[in-house]
Amino acid sequence: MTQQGGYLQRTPHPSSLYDVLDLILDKGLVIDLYVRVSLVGIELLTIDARIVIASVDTYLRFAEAVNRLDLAETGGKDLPEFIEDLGEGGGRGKTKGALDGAKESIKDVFSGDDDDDSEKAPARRRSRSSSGERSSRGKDDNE
Amino acid sequence: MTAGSPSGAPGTATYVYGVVRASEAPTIDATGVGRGAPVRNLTDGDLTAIVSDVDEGFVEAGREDLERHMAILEHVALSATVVPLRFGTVMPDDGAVTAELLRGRAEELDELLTALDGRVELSLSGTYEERIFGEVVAEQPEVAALRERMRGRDEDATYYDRIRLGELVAQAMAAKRRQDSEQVLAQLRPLADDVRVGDVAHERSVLSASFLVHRDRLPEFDRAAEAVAAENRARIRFRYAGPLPPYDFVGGGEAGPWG
Repeated sequence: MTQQGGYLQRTPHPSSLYDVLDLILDKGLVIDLYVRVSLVGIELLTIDARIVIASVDTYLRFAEAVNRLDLAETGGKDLPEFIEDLGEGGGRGKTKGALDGAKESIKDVFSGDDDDDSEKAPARRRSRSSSGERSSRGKDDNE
Repeated sequence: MTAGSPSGAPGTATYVYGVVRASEAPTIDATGVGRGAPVRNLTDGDLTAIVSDVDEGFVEAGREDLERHMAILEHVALSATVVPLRFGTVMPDDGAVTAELLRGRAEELDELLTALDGRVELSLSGTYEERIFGEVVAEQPEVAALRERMRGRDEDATYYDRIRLGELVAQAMAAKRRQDSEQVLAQLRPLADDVRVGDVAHERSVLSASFLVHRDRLPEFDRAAEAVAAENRARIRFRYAGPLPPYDFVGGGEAGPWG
């Protein structure tokens, strides 16, 4: 426990498992020849947690978020929770190996004890997506 | 001298968690990754590797192994300056650890341990609250106009307008991200010995940064981070973690087999 005010609490380790994995899988001193371990026992998803910002998917989500402000202004119905579809933007251009996928899937496994809601949202396709939106999805926008 | 049984037995390999100065070698009562062998110290000269025995064929790790790896390093970091190794580092036996790590990279390890002495890693990341979109609409006339034009119209009919709108929002967000992250870093950088700024992890990320901070300055850094969070409380939610082993400050951008 730290002596702090009400706006920020320092936790012993990152509260999002994504951040934990980012630390211990991507950082740390490397001894090239001897790293052999891979992660298993966890369903691998083909999703990279790090979405690409400049993609049509992102634009459509941003547009939706902005348009949803209208509903709030007009006192509309319940606002659907804004879910960041971490996966829909596709992966980064380069493949880093199985662990990239593992990170994401492990994150889902862990999400029960992860109190962060913005980065653990599983990829979720909006059911109302029009065919136009769907056909717009592509990986060509990746960096 | 080394506590526990040195590996070298058939079917056994040595998993390495990190390296500390021998003078700071910790007392560890912990279960290691893989087969759950006790964690032990392997000392050569001035350096001690934190290791445990694993099965020679230890090539598959699960959630529990990740947790143990992290917990062991955090425990070590409580009382010692540690150079953490990347998860999954297995060497053939203790002899290889001694020869190729403790001796083979002694100079590099010594330099790292000196640079990291008494320092810990603090991680701070920020995410925009959804109200950031209201800010964008208020600040960007073109966004507001486009939004008005689309109001009430069928979603299919506004497909390209939506893309255009989203693109404008994305540009505005990128500008905000630059501005806000610079401001946050400007306030915290003076208290840190080193800073690493990570990639933007998702759409509403503001920044993700790791700070190398001397333990003595931890309270000061806490206060500064608190001030940053308080200033931005309406629009950015921060997550703040540590003290962590200095994962971000031991390898540069060196790519591992999966990095």
